[in-house]
Amino acid sequence: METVIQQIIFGISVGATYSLVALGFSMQFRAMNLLNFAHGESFTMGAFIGLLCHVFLKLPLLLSWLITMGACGVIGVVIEFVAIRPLYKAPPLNLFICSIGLAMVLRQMWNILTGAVAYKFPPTFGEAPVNVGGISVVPEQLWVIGMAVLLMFGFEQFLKKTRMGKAMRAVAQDPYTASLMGISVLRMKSMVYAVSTMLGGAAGILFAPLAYVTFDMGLWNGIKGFICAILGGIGSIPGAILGGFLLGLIEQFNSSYISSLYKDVISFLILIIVIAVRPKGLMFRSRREKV
Amino acid sequence: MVASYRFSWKGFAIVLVCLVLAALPWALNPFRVRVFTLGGIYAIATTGLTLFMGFTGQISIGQAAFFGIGAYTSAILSKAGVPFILSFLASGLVAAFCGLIVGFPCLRARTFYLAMATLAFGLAMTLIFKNWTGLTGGVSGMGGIPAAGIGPFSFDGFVSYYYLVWIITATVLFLAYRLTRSYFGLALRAIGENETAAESLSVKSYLFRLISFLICSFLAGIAGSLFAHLDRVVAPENFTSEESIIFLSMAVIGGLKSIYGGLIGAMIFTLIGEQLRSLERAQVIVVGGLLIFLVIFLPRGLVSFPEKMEKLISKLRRKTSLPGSL
Repeated sequence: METVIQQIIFGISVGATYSLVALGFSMQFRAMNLLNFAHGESFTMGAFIGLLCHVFLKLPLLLSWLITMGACGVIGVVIEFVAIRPLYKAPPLNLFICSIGLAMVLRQMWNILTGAVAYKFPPTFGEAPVNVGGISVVPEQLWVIGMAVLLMFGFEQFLKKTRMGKAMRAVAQDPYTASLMGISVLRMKSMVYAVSTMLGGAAGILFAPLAYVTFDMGLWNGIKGFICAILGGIGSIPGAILGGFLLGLIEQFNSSYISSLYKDVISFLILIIVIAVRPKGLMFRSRREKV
Repeated sequence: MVASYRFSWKGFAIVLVCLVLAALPWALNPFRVRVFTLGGIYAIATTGLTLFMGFTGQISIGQAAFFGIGAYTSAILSKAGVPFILSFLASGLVAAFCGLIVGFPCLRARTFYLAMATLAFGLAMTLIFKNWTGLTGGVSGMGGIPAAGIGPFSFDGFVSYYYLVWIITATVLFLAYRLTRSYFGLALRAIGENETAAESLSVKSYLFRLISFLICSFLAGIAGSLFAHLDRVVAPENFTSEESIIFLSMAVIGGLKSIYGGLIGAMIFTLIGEQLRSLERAQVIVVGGLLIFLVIFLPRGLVSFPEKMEKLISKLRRKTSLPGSL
């Protein structure tokens, strides 16, 4: 029983970071009609900038967080301007292929800048388990869950309450009408890209203490983020969050009860099955497609 | 009927390319010959991708997995003493069978979803190649694959193997070209243009997409078989998802709408790859940058380059000529 609870907590903490990545995917898909293959790279970006600030420059954690998210936002704006913006009028397929090119460039950039070395990010609260009511809990994992939930809550409030968040939702719903209401659609798309990159970066810096920081962590976590977004129904924000937790748990139980070697194979199998059976996500009944 | 002997630039170009390719091994050292052989092998796999992606408008990021399945099948069979021709065909069939298993559920989805599903399949296959040590030899792969041979003739030199690969490549390209001109090719193109309209003309969209996916994986499989016999070593690092992305880039950069796109993309990629070998990891950055640049400025690939230049020149002419001067 105890190990099960520990596994649930670990699964949720990993899943929380997936949720943050999935949120970015969903946002970009809704507002920009872009399935961003390079989104996983924002995850790596966050982890490395966090590592640079916190470990090498020895800045306090909170400041590293702020710098990381700010830097990710700025880089997001630049990337959007250089590679994504020229293609808004092109078919979405071209945009997707462009994002593949982007992912190649970014991943190799990290590879060259950091060398193919696995870095250790120091845990914020230590990895020694603490006994809480007879169950030993790793505080680091609770911290990750807490921060992720806080970020998700903040993000939801941002979308609901602020002017910019409302404008983003308007653009996601109907860009043409939004533009009639005086919303600059282009600027909003760029902001959506920036915000989702910030969320990805935050996920990266959160995930960093749970595993090692390597240049290719973004590929795997990006795909897992996508699996979560698909599980919950792409474009849906609560769906992305739930999908993240779900995948985190599935992975954890897989690796402890079925096979740790093939745990990713099983996650990918789930993706394939969901895409084949319920492409609109587990929570949404897909309308019968008539072609 | 009087046959007309009009000069065709296209025919001229094809004959020229064939002659150059046939003469190449005499002009190059064995290492370079190997690079060109590799280009031919990649061209086969990329042609499959062009058929599937370019004509039906879908995306597959799993080509390297089928390539790998073909290579491992061929390696295992050849080491067991099966003659080359049989293992060559078997690797294509096994890859196509895997394509059926993957495509049957996944092709219900389209474009992005399909892309991610095939990517997931590719990643899963990489893990299987690495971890199923009993069958695939694990991370270090398999060595000691016998040289390809047909009957008493053995293709154990770089030059003879070069000819074998390029004859197969040319055959594949010719068949693919005929295929695109057939009813099947027209149906695929109709699906790519407008699926609803195609269905209303009783083109079975799902079936045709599935068949083209099977052809795509079959070609990847036979290319994999040729790859296994090239260096006579297979290792999982040749079949990762990065390689799938490279295949995709080859197809896109060459041009998806033309059957020659795969050939052009594969050759340019392999040659650039060899030239940029000194850059090592930066090579991927160049390739990725090229991909972004081309998607933005030349969305129909390098095949459309002459067309684009023509348009540009005529545009410039119109601008420079005075109004009314004609």
